[in-house]
Amino acid sequence: VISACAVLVAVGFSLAGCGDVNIETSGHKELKSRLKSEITSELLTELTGGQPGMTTPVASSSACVSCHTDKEKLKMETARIKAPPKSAMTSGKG
Amino acid sequence: LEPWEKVLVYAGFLDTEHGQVDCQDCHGGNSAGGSREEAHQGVVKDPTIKTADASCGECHEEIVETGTKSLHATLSTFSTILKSRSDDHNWGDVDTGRKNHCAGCHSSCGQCHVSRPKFAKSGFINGHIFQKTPSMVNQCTACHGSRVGDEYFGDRGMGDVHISQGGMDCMACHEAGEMHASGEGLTGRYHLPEKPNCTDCHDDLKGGDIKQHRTHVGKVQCQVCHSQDYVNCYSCHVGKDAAGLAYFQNQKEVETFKIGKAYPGSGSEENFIVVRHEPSDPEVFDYYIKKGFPNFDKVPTWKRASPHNIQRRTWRNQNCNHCHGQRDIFLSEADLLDYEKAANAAVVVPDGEVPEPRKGVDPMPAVEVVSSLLVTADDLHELLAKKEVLAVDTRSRSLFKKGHIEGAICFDAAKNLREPPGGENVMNLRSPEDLAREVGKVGIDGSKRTVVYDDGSMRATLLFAALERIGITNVAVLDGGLEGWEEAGYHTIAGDPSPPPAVTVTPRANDTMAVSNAQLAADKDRMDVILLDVRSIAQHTSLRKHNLAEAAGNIPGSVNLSARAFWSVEGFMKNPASVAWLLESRGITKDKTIITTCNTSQLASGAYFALKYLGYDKVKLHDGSWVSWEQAQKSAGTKEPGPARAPAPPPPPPAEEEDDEDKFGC
Repeated sequence: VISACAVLVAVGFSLAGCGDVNIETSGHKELKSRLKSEITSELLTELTGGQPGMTTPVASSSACVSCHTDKEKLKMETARIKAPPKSAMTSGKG
Repeated sequence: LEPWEKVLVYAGFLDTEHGQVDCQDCHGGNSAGGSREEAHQGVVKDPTIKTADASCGECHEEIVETGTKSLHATLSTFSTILKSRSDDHNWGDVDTGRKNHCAGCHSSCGQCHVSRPKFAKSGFINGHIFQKTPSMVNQCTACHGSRVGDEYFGDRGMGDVHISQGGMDCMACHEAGEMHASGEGLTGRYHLPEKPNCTDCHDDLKGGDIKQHRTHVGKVQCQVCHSQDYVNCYSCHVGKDAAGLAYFQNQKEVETFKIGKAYPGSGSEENFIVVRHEPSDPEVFDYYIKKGFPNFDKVPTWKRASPHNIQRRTWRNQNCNHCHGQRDIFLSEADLLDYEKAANAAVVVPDGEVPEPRKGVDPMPAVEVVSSLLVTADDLHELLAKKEVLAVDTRSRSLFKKGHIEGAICFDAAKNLREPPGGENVMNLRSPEDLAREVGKVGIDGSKRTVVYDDGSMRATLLFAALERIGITNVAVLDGGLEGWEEAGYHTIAGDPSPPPAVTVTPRANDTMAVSNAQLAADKDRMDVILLDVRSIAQHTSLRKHNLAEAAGNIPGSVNLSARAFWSVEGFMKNPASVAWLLESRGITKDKTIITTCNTSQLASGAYFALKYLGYDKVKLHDGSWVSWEQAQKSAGTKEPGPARAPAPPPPPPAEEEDDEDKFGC
């Protein structure tokens, strides 16, 4: 029964377009090919090296990720950014 | 959120589907840049506004196709309505104003599924992890706040049964199909085929068991019988200040209820609908163009509404004659401002169409109140003229300086009456000796009748309770506070006059009116005790947390009924008969001991006062309320506080004197 349910879920998922993802038009080739036949969580497990919680950023994003996941670095960097000014004449809740 | 929190990406994001996409694919920029400035050159913060097809649309093509034309994305009905009121000659200037002041409220894929909307000051909801279902608190009601959010959560009125009883979030009714639907060519949101209808769930009303449904369904919009009073806004004006910063100003907000006729274009097939006043004004864009709306009369300013404060039983549906024959709840000529009479001609209900009172229907019993506790602006004006009263402004000194009732003294009730944060006694009323010393500093000693007022924040009732704690009972609250005073046509003055000479006050401690945590723990489960939590539904159900609380939650066994069911946001006491009915119908009766609680005792003091005004003798105030209760539980090492679902946000940044209005409020 469990296997049958799993198959039904997988088929349903596939028919539903893998959670609204339009795999036919996607520009992300690797995802596109995998999403056609595999359940997302399995795909993700593979892409993340098979270890839950293991993060593997796309190589070219490493620089962005190294800063944007580092609380202390962000604190330092954003301390220099001023919030945009707001008119003191604004009143009412909107 | 702190600036760094807004852009902190959780490591877990990298494990998600979207985390497998190169950052630059969506956001651009230069990840090889050596500095922050270089790396961010050309970065698009929200790539889902103008280039959604190239980011989200890469995979979600069909959704993006219609979603980028949705009402959230385009606000197209704003343009449609403004264009109807303007003409070809003026439209260019009107549209400039629209773009500068109105268009900023639009949303995008990312602002519903990744970040807080720009209007709500941005920042990731969950470390850039995409949320299939938007957050009701951080996204939907972050924009739809003053009307939808406040009404739904009970920050105005008692809230909506769909969340208090059903636990339903926004998406329970407003499904993705509606949110992503194209709004092209629509003249109003009620024309969207995907819009939700009450009958989607509540089917077969016409043929059901309830007589009133069989009689009214099809003729009267559901909200006419099932919504509470709601807010109406007046006269928005926009412009740019000396520094070139865009601003808007709403002149007035009024909580009321009006039934209008279903006008052409309302999208309603019923005869009667609930109508809400929108803040449009012929001079709204005068900064950009004078007389920009030669066709202002083409669109009503009282518009079809669906207040999100639905209750199965309301004051209005408890008795036929709370609606039938009640001319004042049907929109009339007298409700209209001069400039909007023609625009609303089709919405006004003529006298002859107001349903006749039903014969043989007994009126609800009259309610007796302790009238000496509440004074009107006229009363206070007369008392001040006779010098028979000491008026006390309980707001902050900064607000007092900007404008106060002439002759009033300043006493910041939020700052001076309670123990400061830190420790188990946080927000408890200070000792009777300390309270006596504080009020004595500004000359309050009870020798003269004292009238306290605020701005709807319930600081006045907090002082009322504190004075009662030290035996000063010759005290009344000004109904409507400062707004009621100004609405009655009386003036205010700016400045900071010297207070009366300090006096020595000997406290006559009332040890029974305030309930400690220990007493509460011992008494709250008794059958003759009701612990009344008067915070909003969002706080009672742990969706939101007070800034002084460590966690969201509620005291087990507490009954939730928002203090805004008693008081309007502006500080007016609601119709005593309707409040009395509401309490009775919820089993909050005079034979029981009612202990009011909230976050810091401030809102609870509002309910404490309201119950006393309605003649409840056995009313008590939970000293310190939730913030004190959770500290006591922590000290005792118990897990008594209710479930806390909301993660604890960081402590608030230090507030300046001018900005701490709500720091200790509820």
